[in-house]
Amino acid sequence: MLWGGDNSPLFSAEIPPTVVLMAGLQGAGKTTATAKLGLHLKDQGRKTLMVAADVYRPAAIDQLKTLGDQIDIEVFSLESGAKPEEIAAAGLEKARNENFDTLIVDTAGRLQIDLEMMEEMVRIKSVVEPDEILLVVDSMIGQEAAELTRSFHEKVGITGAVLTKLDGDSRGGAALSIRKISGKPIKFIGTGEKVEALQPFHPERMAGRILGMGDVLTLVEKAQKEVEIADAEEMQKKLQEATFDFSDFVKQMRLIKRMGSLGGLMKMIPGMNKIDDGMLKSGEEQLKRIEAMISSMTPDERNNPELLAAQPSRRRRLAFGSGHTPSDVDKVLADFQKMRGFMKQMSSGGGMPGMPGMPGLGGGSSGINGNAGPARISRGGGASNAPKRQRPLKKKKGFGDL
Amino acid sequence: MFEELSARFEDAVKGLRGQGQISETNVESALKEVRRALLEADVSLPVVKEFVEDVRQKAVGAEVVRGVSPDQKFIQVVHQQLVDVMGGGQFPFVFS
Repeated sequence: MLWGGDNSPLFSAEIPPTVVLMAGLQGAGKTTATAKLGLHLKDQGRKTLMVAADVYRPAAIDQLKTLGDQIDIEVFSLESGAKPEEIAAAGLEKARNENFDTLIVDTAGRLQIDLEMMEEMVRIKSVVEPDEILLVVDSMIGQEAAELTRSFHEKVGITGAVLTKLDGDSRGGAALSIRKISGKPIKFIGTGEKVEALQPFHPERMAGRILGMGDVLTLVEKAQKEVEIADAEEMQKKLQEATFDFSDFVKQMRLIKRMGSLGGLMKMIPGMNKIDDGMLKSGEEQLKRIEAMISSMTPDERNNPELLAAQPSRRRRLAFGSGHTPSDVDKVLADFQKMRGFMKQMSSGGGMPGMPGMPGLGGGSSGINGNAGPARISRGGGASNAPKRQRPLKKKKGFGDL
Repeated sequence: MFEELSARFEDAVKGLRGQGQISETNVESALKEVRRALLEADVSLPVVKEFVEDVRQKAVGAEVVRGVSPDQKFIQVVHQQLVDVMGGGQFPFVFS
């Protein structure tokens, strides 16, 4: 139900491909939006061809090709010297011959008052006869976005808008003005730099966000895309039995990363929209440190955190390997043990006793009180043997990809 | 996204907390806040005017069910209005 689920159903006419034409000002994000849309459609199982018809900006064609390689979607373009409408026509021809069902045409940026360029747009339009003409608008320009949409519509006739860079817009003037002023709907929003950062625009969800009610629906959709059900069940079992180890932790962290930034996710949870940016940042930093430590662990240690608790020399190696002090490592280990216990307690119906010892959040102050984490108990002589020389914090070292 | 706008809306609603019902007098200050919030968010003026007018009409005299406070009711009205302004529905692609 990504699109169409709550509205009129899609229909398939006799002759594919569906042609989407992208238009907009310079620097609004058309090429990026083209690739994002391509990926979005590919995820829906559509065979998509992207056409690079921006012959004016240097490297615009290369940009689309690079993006196309990243997301594994074919990009079509002609040798230099070809006119945009020729490229578009040739692209359409190719799509017909090779059974692509969607064609996205990326065009050059143009000002709505540049008559010559607007005429070119009309020519491209008449050549490819698009089903959708999307105007890509930068949300930073505020209410001007609405006027822009209207004048593009008057001159070329668009079917909707893609609002880009919305993640950096704290005000929302564009999002709120476009529909009323231009009469054209916003169809997609760009919410980040990554190719995955494109979402269909849902007014109810957006209204919910503005009023601080969170956006659980989008969060759930994101999670569903990334989480395999079998994985989730296994993870739950591990949590209940408190056998959750460091390799599971890394898995979870990667999952969160694939879904976007930690801050972006937290803000979709109702009541969390006001979470402090500083807190989020320190949380994310803490996660990075933990990741560095885990990178320094042997597979045995990852699967069996008790090993680390039992042998100070291992902890010492970890500290140097990851560029932290031994006490940092002790703290993280103690937090991890606490988290395990806490998760077990929660899953066995023990309610929610606050959120103690979640590594990553809370800026690292938790766990410092030195209570009975196994890592502390067996510390003994280990710490006193530790060499005095201290490495600078967060020294980067070339670990393999985790 | 929309942090500033969110914060402003929250201020607008605060004034209605603790009131027995939404009346023309107490809704006025809330509406003023909403208007300012929208203008500061760089929403186009005609849109702002219409928005505030619609919220006023829907909010004043709205039956507040027992158990729902006026500020909650006001949020509901504003929410509905926001949805309307942004297009009231999702617009799917038409595939050929």
